[in-house]
Amino acid sequence: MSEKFLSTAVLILMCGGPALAQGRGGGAWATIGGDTQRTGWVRADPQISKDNIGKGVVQFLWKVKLENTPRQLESLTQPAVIGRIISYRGFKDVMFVSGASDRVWSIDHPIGKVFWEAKLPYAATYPQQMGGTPACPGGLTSNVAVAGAGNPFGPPTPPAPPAGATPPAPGAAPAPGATPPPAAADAGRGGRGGRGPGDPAGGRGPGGPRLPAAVYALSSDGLIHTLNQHTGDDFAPGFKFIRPNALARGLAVVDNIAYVATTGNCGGAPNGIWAMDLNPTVSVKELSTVKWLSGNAGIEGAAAFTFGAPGTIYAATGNGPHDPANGEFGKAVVALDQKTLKLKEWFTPAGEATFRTAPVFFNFKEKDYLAVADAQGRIYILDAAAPGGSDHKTPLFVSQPIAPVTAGKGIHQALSTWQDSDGTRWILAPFAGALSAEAKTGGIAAFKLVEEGGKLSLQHGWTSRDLTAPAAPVIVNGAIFALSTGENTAVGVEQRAARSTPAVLYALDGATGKEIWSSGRTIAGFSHSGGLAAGQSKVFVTTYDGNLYAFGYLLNRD
Amino acid sequence: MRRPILLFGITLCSVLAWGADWLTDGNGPTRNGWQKDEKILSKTNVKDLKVLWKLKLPNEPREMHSLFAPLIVEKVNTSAGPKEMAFVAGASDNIFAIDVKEGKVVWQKHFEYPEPARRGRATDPLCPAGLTATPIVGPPDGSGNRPMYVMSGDGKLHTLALSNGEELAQPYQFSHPYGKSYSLNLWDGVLFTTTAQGCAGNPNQIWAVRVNDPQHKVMVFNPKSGGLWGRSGAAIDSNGVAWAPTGDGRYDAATQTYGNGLIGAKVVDGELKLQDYFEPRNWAWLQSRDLDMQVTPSIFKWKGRELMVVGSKECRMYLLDVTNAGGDDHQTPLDRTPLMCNEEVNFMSAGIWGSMATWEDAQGTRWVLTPFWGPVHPDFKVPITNGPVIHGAVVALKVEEKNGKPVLTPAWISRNMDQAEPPVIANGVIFAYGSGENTDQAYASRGLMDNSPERIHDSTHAVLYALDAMTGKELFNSGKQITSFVHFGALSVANGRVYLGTFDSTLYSFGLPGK
Repeated sequence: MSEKFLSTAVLILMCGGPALAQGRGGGAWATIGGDTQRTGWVRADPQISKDNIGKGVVQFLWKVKLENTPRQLESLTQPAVIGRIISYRGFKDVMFVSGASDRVWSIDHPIGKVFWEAKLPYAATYPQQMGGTPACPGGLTSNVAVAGAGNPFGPPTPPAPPAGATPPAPGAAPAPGATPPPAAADAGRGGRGGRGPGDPAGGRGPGGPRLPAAVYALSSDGLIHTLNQHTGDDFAPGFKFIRPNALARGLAVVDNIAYVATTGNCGGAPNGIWAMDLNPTVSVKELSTVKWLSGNAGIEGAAAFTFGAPGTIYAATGNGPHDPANGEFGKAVVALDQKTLKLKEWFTPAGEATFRTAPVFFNFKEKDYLAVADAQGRIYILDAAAPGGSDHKTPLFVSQPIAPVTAGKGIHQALSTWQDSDGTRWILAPFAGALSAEAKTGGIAAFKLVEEGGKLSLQHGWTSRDLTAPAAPVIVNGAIFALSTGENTAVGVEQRAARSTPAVLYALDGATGKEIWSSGRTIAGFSHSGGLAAGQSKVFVTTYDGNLYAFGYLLNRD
Repeated sequence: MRRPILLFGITLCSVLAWGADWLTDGNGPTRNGWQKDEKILSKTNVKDLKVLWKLKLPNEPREMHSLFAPLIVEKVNTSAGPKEMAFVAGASDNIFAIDVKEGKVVWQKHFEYPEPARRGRATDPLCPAGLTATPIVGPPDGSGNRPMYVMSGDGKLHTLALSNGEELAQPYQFSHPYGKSYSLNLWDGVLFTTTAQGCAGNPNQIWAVRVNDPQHKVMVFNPKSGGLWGRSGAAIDSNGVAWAPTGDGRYDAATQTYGNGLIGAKVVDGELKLQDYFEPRNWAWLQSRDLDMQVTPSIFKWKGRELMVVGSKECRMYLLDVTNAGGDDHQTPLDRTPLMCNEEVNFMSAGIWGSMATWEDAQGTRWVLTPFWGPVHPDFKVPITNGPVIHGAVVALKVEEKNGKPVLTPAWISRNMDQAEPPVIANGVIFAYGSGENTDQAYASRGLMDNSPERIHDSTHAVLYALDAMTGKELFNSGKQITSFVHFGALSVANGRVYLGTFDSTLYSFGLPGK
């Protein structure tokens, strides 16, 4: 490896990662769940709102067929979406998606063209698991991630200047040596000619070179790859992170530390959460890896873990013994130290409860909370600072089952949360199975978090139309995008593709659940775990057959 | 008998007074690039062009900028008698006056000023610290003497005597120090410039000042977004409206924000006021891909109308009527070409850059010309081609009437040129050049890194071409005679000579030996 290559890699790792700090909504979708709080909420979008979706603002934009071979039901992962990069091939607005067959793609999302494709070689000495089982499919199983913000209450993103703000005062030229006049208001990103002194960071400002940032991917051999967003090339050789052939979930990179969960005891990888320091000052990355193991119980939920209060991450475990003294942490919500992954707090509900989702973290009336769902269809509200209270058993609130749960049904994938302009905090639960008279096969149940007499509770807001095995919904500017995945979970894996139905994307009014728009018959296949992502005025759907669909605001190219 | 004598006298006077000037970048306020008065160079003899002289001028390049478009005055009254002189500005605040017959510097002037408080980042090609606006020669006074207006790097406007470079008036502040002003233009006593890139904190806007205003009141119009980096500054129509492209930015009519378009502003009641504007319908796409509207338009008369053409890095041309640019919605051009190049949507090394040109042939056909960089678009169909185009070319189009309205009809595309630059027209010959400039700004491993030393190192050399104006057929090329590249320079043509200044501060004069 040349010195130049090494120095470039170090420079990239130092500058490239933080350069794209994302994860607080906005227009980016940095990791599974959109942000590291796993809210599923795109807080602001310049084009899409619940008020204009019905006026045709959201439409089918494109679909791209990606050459990926599914492993069992694993196909394409949930995408990561960012905005503008200035690459050697021009200005691009890119997203990233990985496939079970160890592929990563970057797509120029306004036009739906593959920008690059990376094939991640299997480099472990331990043989690659080729066939797999539904529980342990092998292959690439975790989402791709771009750098995210771990602390949700860090410095706020500066708002873009409103259109027309701060125009330079017309009139006489400045006197020599005088303070320069105010900058031209220019929210435009990039632009050799457009660059004004007040051009925001996204522009080609006078700050000198702008190095490519990284997109992170975890290949089936357990190596984490730091890929150049501009080319798909590894900035440096992949680092061994977890065991090969593991079932990995929720990859996220915060402050140059990569996090991932392993579950299902697949490939001999114990169930747990892993963290590796990617900082360039760490010469042997493998030695920096720390872990927390849950024992026999798996780490639950599509996102697997959640960043919350400063320095803390949370996870929920499924069925398994709870015997901390012997390293068994089943049926619990745990709070771990973000750097050491040592256990800080936990919640173990009294009675039978097996968690099904990762916690989602949010703030309500200036306090931090978690919401998490169990296999019985209940939603828990927990104090993020002390999830189980002093006895580790007491939630702030637990709902009744939102609907009767039958075998293989119930709340699944993940909860989502958002706050409307009135300050109402909403919790959204995707439910497979009969949810109401209208939602016979499944749907989204929306709840408001209310505080009365100092006590929190969830108040039913609305129930969506019927949706088949819905994915975790995403929220964009007050609109709920709900995906009826079409997956027939009542049949075995070998019959799933043949007996599932095409997915349909819906836009719902966030206040009422009323259907505003649907994709109709546009999507041809069903969707499994990849599901739904949003950002940059678009909503993306991946399907089992390797297609990536984009819906949203059409930028007039011609 | 008296009538023949009179006719002979008129003819003789005409011959004696046939001299041509090139007084501004683009040869006039409309930036047509057309030397109407050329009598020496022709299609039949340009094959014999030679370097008549080349002058290495004591000018230090600033970033990638060096010499700007030479101005030619056929008759300058000097102490040694009338001379045809070239005036060329150098980026390190120099003006050189050259006797074009001798190829010698007659006088030179360097502008000194305190170092401005702010300047662009070192190695940034966008913001050179120094003189950046091509000067302009004004109309003659009663004695036939013309002033030259020059803006030094500190933003001050100087009025110089052509004969010796003396300051004819006290310099005064016009624009911002190190603010990267573009070529000066002049109409009815009002001097215009434009600014872009926000260099040294300078706002991006159109600037104007009346040259005879004792108060030197500076008038500006700011489009609120974008940067006005048409290489030749603003073009001015017959009503005094200065038209300038606004580069990369936002358009929002509700807030009078006019990025990524073309704005026209005029001095009215002592203020520079917006008169009209045009915004491409896909301006947001252009902005998202940095395909700026950044080309100085060319303005011309056509069948009683006054039209203009403009383009962008996207690589299409727009035909507009100066009295109603873009129609009622400001987004409907009279005509729009298909994409001529830049299939790959490249922001740095493809598309139309610089300015346009236009001329009318003897049959009254109006032609418009545009250069572009990069490969020709595979879907662009042209009746006459002159070989594969990989790195750039010049395209000629005719303005024709179709269904009662003017349209642009492609006529020919030139041979390949390494980054084709704005052409000029003289006596049925198109002069154009490939700049040889390395225009890369971003790299696979390093991202955006627009760096002057690297680009300078990787640039090659310019090549001058002469083309048949009817077909684009190559009549001459300079091969390796020019040894340096050109960045933001420009051609000038007058009286049998073609001029071009290069990065290494060498001014070349091509012509026909003995003529």
